[in-house]
Amino acid sequence: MLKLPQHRLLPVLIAAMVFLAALSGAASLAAARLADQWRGAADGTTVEVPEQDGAAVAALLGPAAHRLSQDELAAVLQPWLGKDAGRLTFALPAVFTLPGSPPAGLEQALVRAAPGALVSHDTVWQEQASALADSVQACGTLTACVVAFVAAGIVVLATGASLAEHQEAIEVIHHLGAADGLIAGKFAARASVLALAGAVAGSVSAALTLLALARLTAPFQPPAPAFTLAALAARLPPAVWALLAVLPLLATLIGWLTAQATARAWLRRLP
Amino acid sequence: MEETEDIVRLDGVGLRYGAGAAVLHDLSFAFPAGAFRWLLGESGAGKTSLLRLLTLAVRPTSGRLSLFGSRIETASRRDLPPLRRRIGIVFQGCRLLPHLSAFDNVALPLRLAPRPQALLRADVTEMLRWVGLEQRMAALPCELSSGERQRVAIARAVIARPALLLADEPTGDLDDTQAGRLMQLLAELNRLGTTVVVATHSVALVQRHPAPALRLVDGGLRA
Repeated sequence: MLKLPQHRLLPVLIAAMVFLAALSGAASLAAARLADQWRGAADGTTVEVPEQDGAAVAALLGPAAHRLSQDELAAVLQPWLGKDAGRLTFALPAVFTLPGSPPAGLEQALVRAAPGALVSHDTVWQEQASALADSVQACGTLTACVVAFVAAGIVVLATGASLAEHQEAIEVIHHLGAADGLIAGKFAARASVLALAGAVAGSVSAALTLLALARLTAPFQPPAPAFTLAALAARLPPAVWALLAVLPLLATLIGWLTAQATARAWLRRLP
Repeated sequence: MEETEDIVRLDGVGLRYGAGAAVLHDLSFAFPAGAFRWLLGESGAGKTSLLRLLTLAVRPTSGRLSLFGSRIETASRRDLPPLRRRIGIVFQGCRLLPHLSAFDNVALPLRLAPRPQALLRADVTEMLRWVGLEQRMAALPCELSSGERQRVAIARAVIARPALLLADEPTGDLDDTQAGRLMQLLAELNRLGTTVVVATHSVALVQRHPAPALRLVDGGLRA
């Protein structure tokens, strides 16, 4: 019944908002995932000593310590030194891992048994990494809130413009006996459709961008197999795909609710 | 048509816009069901303001106004749409929706009413045939002559069989022939039971179609 040409910009702006929300949400999810991995995996002590002191230190640390094999060391170094890291000609240190915090007096004992030994506990960098991940998550949440607020503002402005443009028609329909809910429903339905269209476009754009980013930031992953839908889906975590699917629905809901509220508030000026 | 219960009743009704002077004051009268009334007065006498009261475009600022037995000054906003759907309005200047065809303009009240839509096309087509516009159903208002637009406005006002029809200077844009045709339509509606109130400042029109009249002077009734 009501055409809303003023709403033409609405899908474009909503697409931009959803694109930003998807990127910030994906960053937030990635940060949360990393933080979980760090919390779960990093709870031990690492001891590095010169290779010739390895046997003495193994005896000192006892059976709880695990000495990394040459293959394990090569695997640790591979991201930095490539697949030939296991065939290095220079001597590598002996590396031990111990569960939990370093035992009391370990460092003093190591100084005597293996001068130059390095002891590092995961807690130090784990806390810093967790704080960084939490900050990224907080930024992502804040960004999502700002984006939602701005999106609602865009819908308010677009709906207000359309209401003003169609004031004469609305007054006539109002005089003919249309209830506020019916008129507001027309505007809300239109705003929802436009928001959904824009949000789907924004979500698809974000998916393509995230796939490209995943490709760029994962150079050590094995080469992708032949292009299939499953291979493509596997490039992003399921939570990100869920986010990309949910965002258009949220944008539609924001569009509908905001347009309803805006139209109903505007209609209250009529008798 | 025999006049029975009151469709419209005013008791000491006054109206002012904001803090301005009263445009209507101390109006007391009633329109029985099935009545035909002229509403007369010079420009600025308050005819349009009184019609705005009766079409529920404004509420009285004093006195008591009843429509179809409902007190308007105390009614909630939610109560008004059903009352409006019982009122047909022929606005000054038609006020057709420009992007809708003649058919869709006439169909508007039926689409707004909580009633089955199955017979809508037949009802609208019949109504447009009644006002002589069955060949112009698809035309937009800008493609119609002023007389045709006025007939579309009339058709829209009566399509839902309103109990009360209010017309503000309905013949203002029409020549004598078209005005005569319009008055025949209004008389026919009245014969079918609709209470009709027509505001005009045309003495000639009233003389050609005699009926009881209310005369407004400076916002008050003159006997």
